[in-house]
Amino acid sequence: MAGTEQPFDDEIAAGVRNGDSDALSEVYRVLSGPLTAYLRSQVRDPQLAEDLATETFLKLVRGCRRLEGGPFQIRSWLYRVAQRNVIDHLRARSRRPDEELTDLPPEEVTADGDPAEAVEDLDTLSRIRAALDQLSPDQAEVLRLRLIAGLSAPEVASVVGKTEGAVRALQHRGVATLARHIRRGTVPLHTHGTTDSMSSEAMVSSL
Amino acid sequence: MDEQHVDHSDDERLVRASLLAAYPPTRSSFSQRRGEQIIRAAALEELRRRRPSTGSRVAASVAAAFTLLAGTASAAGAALPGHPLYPLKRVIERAMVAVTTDDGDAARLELRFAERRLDEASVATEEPVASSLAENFNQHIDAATTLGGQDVTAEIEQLRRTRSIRGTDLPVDGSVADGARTRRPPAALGRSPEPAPSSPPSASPVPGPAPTPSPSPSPSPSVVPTEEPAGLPTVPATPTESTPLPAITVPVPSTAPRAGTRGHRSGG
Repeated sequence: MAGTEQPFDDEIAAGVRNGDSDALSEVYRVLSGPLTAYLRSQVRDPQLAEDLATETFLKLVRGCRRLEGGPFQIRSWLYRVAQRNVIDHLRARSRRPDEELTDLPPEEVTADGDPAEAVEDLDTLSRIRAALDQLSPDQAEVLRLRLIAGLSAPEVASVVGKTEGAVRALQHRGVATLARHIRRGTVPLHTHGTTDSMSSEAMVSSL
Repeated sequence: MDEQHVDHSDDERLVRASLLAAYPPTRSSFSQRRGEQIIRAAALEELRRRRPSTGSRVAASVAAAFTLLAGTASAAGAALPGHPLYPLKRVIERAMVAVTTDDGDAARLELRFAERRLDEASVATEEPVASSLAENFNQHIDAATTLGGQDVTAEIEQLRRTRSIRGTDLPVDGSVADGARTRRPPAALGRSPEPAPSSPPSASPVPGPAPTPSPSPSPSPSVVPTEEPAGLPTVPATPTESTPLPAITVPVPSTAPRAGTRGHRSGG
């Protein structure tokens, strides 16, 4: 498949389609990290992201025998389910207006050297998160799937229901905007919660 | 920096590194292990849940059968692999688990049957028989783990030690990449290699985000005792036969499997 190399092979995919516990466990092992990171970028609450990730994989366990295709299709399917879980969660939360957004706790910067040096303090990390919320919902979603989850452009196209060209265009514009914000440090921290609420609602209505 | 001269690949590297720093795709080893256990247990549960109709029919038949055939069941319980009554022994084991209403009791049954496989493997002389026993041993251990959780950890460790003492150092968890399988000596106990999935992946995209599982064909046991086998020979008892099994209430055939863990049966 064009794009990113798959983290598991056709044999594992066949095992998943057969409901093999070893194969499902292996897919969880290699995909739960990126999937949980993607979910964290959506819901901001690490524990909630963990729960949504588990729920997503449990749906894989229950639905795996209906799946067709190989690693590409399985990974795309997982992220579609994750996306749907986020939307369901946001809809449920919108019916509970008293519920406050949970602020992200500080997380360690784990990247080694190179560009991560530019983002090693928590203020910067918070600004990055806020900057992502400044993008259009489509741009932010494409960046989350491409750069946080590590999906290929065709996989992202499959997840978001757009053409590969549209995905690349959204990525290009999103990257340019986000890079500009990061370089200039123009995103104020106090806009964080407000923009999240707005982008969440926009996301719900746009999907 | 002059935006007119910014390399787009630089932008992408910066944004990628920034996003990965903000949302690192790593998790604590605790979360990872816990999640893997949940998924593995759910997969095993799903596997067993998919065979309830066959299982309950077998359970009902066998419950009736071994209530009536105490003597025969005892003879079957002593059978070794290759004996005509051995398949009946395995069917009875599955039925006993299926009709046990308490998960803890069912877990202990699974452990008892795992121990039986160890005993049988200790006298098995043929590699295919040993492999089959090893596979069934692991299935019982998996089922006991799912049913009993932490309550049976000590017993599982004891079985592992027993297994090790009897001449094998193979793991019992049987991960996909278990390279130790090739080191199994003839007729020693270890998980047998699983067959490669036969259906090649199709290139068709998956329709829809929320599929519903469809029933898959359920494997049938090799023997379903629906009538009393007459004139069955007596066979030597295995070492475990001297240990009485936990008290089990055998309901009458109409008993339906309970939701959740009720479907736990290790394959035969």
